[in-house]
Amino acid sequence: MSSKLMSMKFMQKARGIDPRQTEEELSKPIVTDEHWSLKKAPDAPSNKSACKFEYESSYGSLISESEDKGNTQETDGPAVAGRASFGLFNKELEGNKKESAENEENDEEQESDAPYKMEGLETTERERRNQERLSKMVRGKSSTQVKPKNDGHKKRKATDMDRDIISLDTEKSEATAKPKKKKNKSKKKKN
Amino acid sequence: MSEVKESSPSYYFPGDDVKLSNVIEQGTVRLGPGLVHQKHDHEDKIKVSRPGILHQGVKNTVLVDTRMKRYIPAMNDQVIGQITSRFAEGYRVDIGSAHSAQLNALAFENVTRKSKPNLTVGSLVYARVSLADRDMEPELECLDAATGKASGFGELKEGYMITGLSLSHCRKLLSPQNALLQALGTYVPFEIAVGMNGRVWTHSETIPTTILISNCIKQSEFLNDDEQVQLVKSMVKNL
Repeated sequence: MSSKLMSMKFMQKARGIDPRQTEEELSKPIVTDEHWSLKKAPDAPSNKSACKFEYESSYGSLISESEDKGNTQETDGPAVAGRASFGLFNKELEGNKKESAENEENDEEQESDAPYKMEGLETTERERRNQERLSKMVRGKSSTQVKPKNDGHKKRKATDMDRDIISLDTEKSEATAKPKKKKNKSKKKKN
Repeated sequence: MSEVKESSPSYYFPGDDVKLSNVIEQGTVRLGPGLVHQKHDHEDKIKVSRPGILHQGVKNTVLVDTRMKRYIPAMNDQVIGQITSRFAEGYRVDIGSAHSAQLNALAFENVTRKSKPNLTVGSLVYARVSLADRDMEPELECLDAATGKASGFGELKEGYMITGLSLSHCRKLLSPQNALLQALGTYVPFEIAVGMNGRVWTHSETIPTTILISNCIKQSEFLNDDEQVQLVKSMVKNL
């Protein structure tokens, strides 16, 4: 009879051989003299490293992390670094700044020791914006002294002259509007 | 970069070892761009793969700041892209990488299928790279990762985009207390968007001031903080 038929389970059961036992014996590893292994040496350095190493492939993730942990109190504006606005150019971006902080910045810049005429330009641009606010307020409310501190009274006389010399692109409407408002303020000062 | 500790900046070349004693050994060490971990004779070694200055950041992070001009897209990078074509589902955007990026038309804040923003070919967008793989086209989103809001991303209208800047220069401009931008901000009102792909967009009231800002940014790469402020003052004086 064929060997395949003899190895079938029912044939082995008829002979009295337990098929499971034979399978186990076959699957056991054979240890003979050919089999060798190293004696365990505890001093041998293992391949495991003391610390795990992770890779971070982008600078963007690292920068956003440092923002979250570092200067959350100091950063103004939107949560995204890289988008910024200066001098109230984009009000949405600068809307998160508190007005008190802005006034403090204005005071610091006014007190700086830059002797250049450009300082006049800086105050005039802020003055221009304040005067836009004023023009709405002058007609309505009487007290205009509430406006922020960045009116450089000392520098106002010089700025007009400087502004005309330096910036070639001042709008003529501003030049005409300014003297009118100045007269109002000078009258209020005297009062 | 706000995480810079410039006590003793050291310049490393590719193949140099970074001593592990310099790096805090507490569990996991995060290797940023430019560093590779190697096992040599059962010893851990950190090798530098790109030339640059080594920086140590938060959370056991070490990275090398390389002066590169070629942009390779990476996740969570904020980039400025120019729309080159539009199709039904979105736009194809050029971000300066080897492949054009895709911007889904619905990847904006408060957008439904009916109220999609209508961007024209040639317009600029400030977006975040949401998918970056070397085998696939990068994908962009005009949303913040965590909040899902626009927060500065979106279309950049008008203004002027400066190209050809090195990536390390742009990373310096990203820090909130950058000396050059603060100095410019005291003299000229403007807004700026810095892309990590070597592009910077700026917009101000007049063309001469925009030119002033772009010249200041281009010329200030190798200057330190004081020199940058001096540069700004001299350029504003000549305006």
